[in-house]
Amino acid sequence: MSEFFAMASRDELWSRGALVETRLTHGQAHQSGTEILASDAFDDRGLRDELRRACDAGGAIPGDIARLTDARIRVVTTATYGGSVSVQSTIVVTIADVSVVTTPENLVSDHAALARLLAPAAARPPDRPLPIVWRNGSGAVLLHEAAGHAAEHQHPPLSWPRWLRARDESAAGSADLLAGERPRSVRRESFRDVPLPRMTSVKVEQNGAPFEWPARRIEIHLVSGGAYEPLTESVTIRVAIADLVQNDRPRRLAPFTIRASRQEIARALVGAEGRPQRYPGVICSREGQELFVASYAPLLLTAELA
Amino acid sequence: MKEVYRKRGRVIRREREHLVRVSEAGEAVDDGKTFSVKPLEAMHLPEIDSTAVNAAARAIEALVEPPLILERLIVSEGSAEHDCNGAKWSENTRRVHVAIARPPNRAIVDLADFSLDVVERLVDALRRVGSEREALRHIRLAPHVGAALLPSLVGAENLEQAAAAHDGKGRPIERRSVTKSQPPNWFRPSYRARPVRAWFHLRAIHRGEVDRTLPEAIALLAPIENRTIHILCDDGRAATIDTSRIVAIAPDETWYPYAAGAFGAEIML
Repeated sequence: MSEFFAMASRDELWSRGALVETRLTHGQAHQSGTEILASDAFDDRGLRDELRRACDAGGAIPGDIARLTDARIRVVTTATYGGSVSVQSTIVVTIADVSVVTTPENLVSDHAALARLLAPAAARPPDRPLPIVWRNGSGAVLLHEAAGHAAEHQHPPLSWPRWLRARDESAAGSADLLAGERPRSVRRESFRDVPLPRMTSVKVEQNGAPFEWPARRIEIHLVSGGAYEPLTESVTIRVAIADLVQNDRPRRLAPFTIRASRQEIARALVGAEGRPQRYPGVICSREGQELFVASYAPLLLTAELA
Repeated sequence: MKEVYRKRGRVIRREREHLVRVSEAGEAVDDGKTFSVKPLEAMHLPEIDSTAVNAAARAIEALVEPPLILERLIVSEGSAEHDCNGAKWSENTRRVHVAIARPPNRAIVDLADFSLDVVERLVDALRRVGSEREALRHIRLAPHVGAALLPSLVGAENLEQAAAAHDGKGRPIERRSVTKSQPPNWFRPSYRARPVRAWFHLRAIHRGEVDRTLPEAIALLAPIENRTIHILCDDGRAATIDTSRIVAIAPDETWYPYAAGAFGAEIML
């Protein structure tokens, strides 16, 4: 039996309020067994026009972007068809080489939040590892790498704290990432790509977790990237914005990198507080396909990681 | 001046168990202010026969048996027609990207043809791989490993750009010395990508005598980082090597798809 997929995508790059690059892509793919026939020409031109219209309507925010003259902004709006049409817009806002990933409805507030967070480094790196408070939903990135990608690779589940939940939610259903369940949704970046089980929306929650603010700690606000190495089951997190906090006095740290095995991360998770907060920023790259993954996590506390 | 670039292409690609046939055409316009790209839905190029791609992929799959893991295999064949402001040219390409693992090691190879020699040697070495040993005093990099290193040697080693008919804007690529200054040619890996200046078809200059009794590095075990490479030797040894002290180089004529192209170079470190 043949499966059909179609899409249209508009990708715009704005710099200092001016449009510098714009790309329209559209195409369809018929999949029969393991063979995929992909083309930018549509069997049904009506469907092509409907996807292009949906895509243009979903990304219609040039007025907002033109006012953000201090930033580099990439807007990608994709309309896909796999039985029905759905539209997703993601916006990457970059100021001074630090980025957040947001949506049209959160663009103005996330841009303002990023501008507020930017500050020069004022503290020397700590001479030994410290406890880390993962603010702003950034703990979702840690679980995305340590539990989400491990589940995609079908690595066996670990002993996680009993108060912790991490699920991937999509239209295809919910997957318990801590139990090693693969994401239910099969996704692809474009009509040219092979669809793969990929995360859609990672939701981290806590239920009755302990939490106590360490007197000396690192507080992470934004990460610039993460990676999971399936051969060694190790996680790398590149931290873009973080503070060294002592006696409630925060001082900005220079960007740094955390490396730990997923076992070490599972053991280091010692606390959490509050409800999940939206984290502005995960573009996940796997097999050369970049996809936006929505991310939510409460305040998380990890013990010292190298 | 407004620049209009059009491309039609077909590619057939084996990726994991999937066989993907892609046909598309597109236009990129640079008016000096905005770079705009759109599909053309033009008449497609003729179908590409899948026989060679399937045969190459199956041959590599058959080579890799436990405890080795075929992590990634992409075998493709493509044809394309280009037109940039009236300059027209066409090309046919073959590519193999393979990542074979024996945890915790992963060897990566990129090739521009479907010959199996390099992959066979890689599989044989991975079967015998041991733990990483201390840095070897001298080593020689196989030509395909040396080719992967050449883009990182621009400005540090005497290199040459080999001549070719067309760059990404249809202009001729002239033979010349590679320097740290701005490259004269433009690289355009896709019609969707804005062209960037790049040195093409890097070729090392012969110097010294490569000692062929030394252990031979036949694969990279990680991406090149600064001047350090993690390599797998043909005898199964894994090592970390500083590439800043090159003793001898012997270039060869095989082209590899690293950056905007690099020719093989046997390099003695």
